[in-house]
Amino acid sequence: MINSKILDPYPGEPDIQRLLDAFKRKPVDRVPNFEVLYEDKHVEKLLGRFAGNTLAYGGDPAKGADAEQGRPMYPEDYLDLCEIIGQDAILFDAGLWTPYRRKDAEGNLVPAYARDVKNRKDYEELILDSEGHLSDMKKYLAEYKEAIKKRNSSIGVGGLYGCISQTLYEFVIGMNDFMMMAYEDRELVEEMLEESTVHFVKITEALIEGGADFIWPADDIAFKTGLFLPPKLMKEIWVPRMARIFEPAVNAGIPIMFHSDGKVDDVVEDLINMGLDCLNPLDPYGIDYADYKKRYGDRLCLSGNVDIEFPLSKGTPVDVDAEVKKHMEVLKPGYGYIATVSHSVVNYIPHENVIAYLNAIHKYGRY
Amino acid sequence: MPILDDIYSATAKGNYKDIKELVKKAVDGGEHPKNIVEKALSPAMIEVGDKFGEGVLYMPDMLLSAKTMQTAMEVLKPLLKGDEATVEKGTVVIGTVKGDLHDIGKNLVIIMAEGQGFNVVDLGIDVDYSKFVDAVKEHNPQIVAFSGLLTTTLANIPEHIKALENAGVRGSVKLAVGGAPVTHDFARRYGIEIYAPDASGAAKEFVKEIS
Repeated sequence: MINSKILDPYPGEPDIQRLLDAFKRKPVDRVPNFEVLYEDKHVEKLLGRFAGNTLAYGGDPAKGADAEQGRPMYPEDYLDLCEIIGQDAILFDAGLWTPYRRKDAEGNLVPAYARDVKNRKDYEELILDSEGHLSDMKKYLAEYKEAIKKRNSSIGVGGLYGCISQTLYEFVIGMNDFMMMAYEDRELVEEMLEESTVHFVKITEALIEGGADFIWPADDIAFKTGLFLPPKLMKEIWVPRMARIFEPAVNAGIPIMFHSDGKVDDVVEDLINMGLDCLNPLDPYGIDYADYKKRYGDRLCLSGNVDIEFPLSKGTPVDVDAEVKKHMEVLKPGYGYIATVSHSVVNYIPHENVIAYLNAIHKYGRY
Repeated sequence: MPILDDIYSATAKGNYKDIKELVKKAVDGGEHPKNIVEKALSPAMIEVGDKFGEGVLYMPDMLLSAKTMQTAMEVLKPLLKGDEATVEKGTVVIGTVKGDLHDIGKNLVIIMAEGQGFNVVDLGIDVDYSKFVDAVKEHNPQIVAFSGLLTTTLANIPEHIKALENAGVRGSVKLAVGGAPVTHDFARRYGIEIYAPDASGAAKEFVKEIS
């Protein structure tokens, strides 16, 4: 009988040390459950009150909203949620998107996310609001740290940020034009990537200085068959820059988790060489998690792959339980596994499946 | 014919800057415009699509080849007079299903379908049921293609089909569906005639269905 109504008691209080040990593939008492995002309906059901989604109270950073339209979840809500679901850390939006702005008719800075930058002239009209972004990020990190301290909690905090290429193709240039520009005006693309890199290096440094326990850069660079851009080009224009974003954390001994959807085979070795600790989300449409465990399990912590389409959205609690068990059997041995869904805990997943998912992790994830 | 080889090669390599000149040279040399499309441009796009599917080529390669073909067609279309029907294989109306904002897959299918000579009417993202119906009435397509990344939005497929049925146009078109979580079984379940796991396969299936 699968309990999909209420959360079962889980073993071991939420503790950042568990997550940090999992990143480093050290022994832990249970496989940590850790999600990039719980959307608001699940949060409300779990908490018993509205608190927004875990990345934003109001607005949705995953869809391009930012500080002007929302703010990260309030610390007390997030800490309560972590305690309810047994999650070891808060993950907040430290700036997913490069903060490109332009002035509107009234002279206000507004996000420049209309996919209308097609050449150097368009690019030169953009304003990078790096300082504004950094200042918001530091303020929110300090809020979280303060709340954790006040509660005397062992829960940790990390920042999600760093979409150097995705900002460009998703919001600034547009997918098709970005892809062609990478071939035809590589200099301009590199200039934009470089500007983003400089900005995100500052975010890494500020996260470390502000006491973040880990960093989580993200940048969707692939789809189910492979990288968007040729591996050779990626190794020239993207790998060295993402390495620079990682570098302050590597030097400070702060664990690094990285997210890209799709089949990222062609850059996994690069990511390991850059100092990556944990790879997420092992896209189920492009990655065989058992194969990844064999190939990278002794060098990387792995996170993700439980498909939000099936079983989470379309399956039953019994299907969810079985899928979590299957993942545990392959990924749990030898440590270095963090249970995570293939994307995020979106509202369209039936809540009973979310309960079944968390209960299954806590049931099968014990060492 | 070396000139057709040159056009094929330029298209496969995405050399859109030289293609106009090559096509003009071929036409001036007596090459029939229809031959240029059928023996050089379309086969080159098939090769590009296949290589993309195999992971040999990447998105920019495919986009530049598509741009090359489009540039060539700017020269050829006015010359096709009377041959448009044989060169143009048919019309495809395509869009992401209601509620779905993910369009990478849809855009790749458009590139490949146009490469195979289809006139593609792109309805964009998050397309309402009635918009598909209106497009069928307006453009008289042979194929209506639904694209979706999310299970939750793909669940709107029966409503899309019902809207076409209610408008009395379901029987006049073949339906196609694609997207990461879509399977052959999914397509069959809803009586959808065309399914392929990738963009190149979709264009080939379109050709099969209308021939």
